[in-house]
Amino acid sequence: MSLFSIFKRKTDAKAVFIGLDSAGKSTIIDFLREGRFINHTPTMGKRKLEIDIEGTRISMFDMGGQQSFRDLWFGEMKTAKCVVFVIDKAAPHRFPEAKAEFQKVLPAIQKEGLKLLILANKHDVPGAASMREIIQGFNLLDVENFEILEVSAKTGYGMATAFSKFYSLLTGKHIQKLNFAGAVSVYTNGGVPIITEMDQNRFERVALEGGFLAAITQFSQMKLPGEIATQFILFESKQNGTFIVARSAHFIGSLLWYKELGVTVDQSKIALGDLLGHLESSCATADENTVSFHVEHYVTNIM
Amino acid sequence: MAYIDNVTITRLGGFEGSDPELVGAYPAVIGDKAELINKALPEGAVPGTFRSDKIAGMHILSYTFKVKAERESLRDDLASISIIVSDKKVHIDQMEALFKEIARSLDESGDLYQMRPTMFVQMMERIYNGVNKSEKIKIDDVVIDIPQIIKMNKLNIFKKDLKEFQGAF
Repeated sequence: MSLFSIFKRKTDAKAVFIGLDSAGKSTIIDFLREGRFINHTPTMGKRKLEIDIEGTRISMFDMGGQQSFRDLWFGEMKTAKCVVFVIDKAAPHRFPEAKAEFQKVLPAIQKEGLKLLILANKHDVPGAASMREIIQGFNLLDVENFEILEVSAKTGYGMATAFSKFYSLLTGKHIQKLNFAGAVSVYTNGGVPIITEMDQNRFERVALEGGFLAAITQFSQMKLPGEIATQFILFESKQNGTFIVARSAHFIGSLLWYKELGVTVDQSKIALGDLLGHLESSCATADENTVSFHVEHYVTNIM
Repeated sequence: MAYIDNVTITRLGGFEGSDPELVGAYPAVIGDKAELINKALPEGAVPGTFRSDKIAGMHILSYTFKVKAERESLRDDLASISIIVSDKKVHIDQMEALFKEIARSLDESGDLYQMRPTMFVQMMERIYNGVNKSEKIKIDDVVIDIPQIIKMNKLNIFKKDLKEFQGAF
């Protein structure tokens, strides 16, 4: 027994992200790591990113999708546990090319017994292909043992579910998707309401919006030191719970926390901060409809 | 006497179906294009980083940066600007320091990010001449004062020829 083996070691699990260029592999990986949209340049060859979760070190290999780099996929797949194949569902004209690449890697995936997760990215783009069109376009009915999910690494749609599925395929362990909010509202930095998303089984919209507005009004009247990127204030509400209000450069966000959610106030604060961070990086100067669209998509991860 | 042999720009486009390519070279392409691309834009290259390597016995100093996409819906390109030095009398670490100053000045000014194909040749030519003649490089509103950089950083680009010292002590 070596000396090092007496220390608790982390389990390593390797996943390889492949798919055509511009499919969104790097953007998905960075969203999984950072919780927000990050605009990318193309990946030159490959890059390796690691995250530690519950004693498992997950290595994510982000493989360049350009023709010149596709041969590299096979080398990394040899030592992987899971392959994530990313499809740009807004580019059906590239489905034949993507399908051809998918069919090249499929025998290796099956031979090695690798887990396969297909992410149909760019769900936010109007007119993107439906799940049915993707399944037909890639002949997925003929493929055994795979999972497929629709996501958007731009708006955040479905990313928490995708991560939960990815983690489960990679480690064999289940990870519970947490609810961080009973309701979420976003306002302009001048306090004009843009959108409210809520658990409709638990709250009445009118009563809740009244609470949000009261909190926002108090918040906007407060003098805050400097232009801090994200500033949090808590307001207790006897009826509903605790309103966490935060301000970023372009937005004010409000999140309703209550004990039964099963998460701490601090966890919900992080979730709200991530939402605002995402809005700042993806649609800071966009119109209200675009911001609403992003919020609707993003809250699928926190509610 | 020239300090550098060549200035090149390589790119991996953000558009669909792109592949790494040699965008241009001034005065002319040196060596094998594929090898040049591999060294100038190596695996894992990310914007804002420098790299020093060798190609056919020559030094290649590269700086990787972003170039704004031509259409808003596309992602930015990944590109690199490189200088190639074959002269063994050149202090490569000193040249590297000078090249970093040039690349940083251009990147901070936004000139590299806004670069369009028509600017490539102009930019490469001005860097080539500016460094080799040790004179100011002027690209649009950006002026890179090479003599001042050399003076401020006390750079000695050329190794002294031992013959110069003969009888001088």
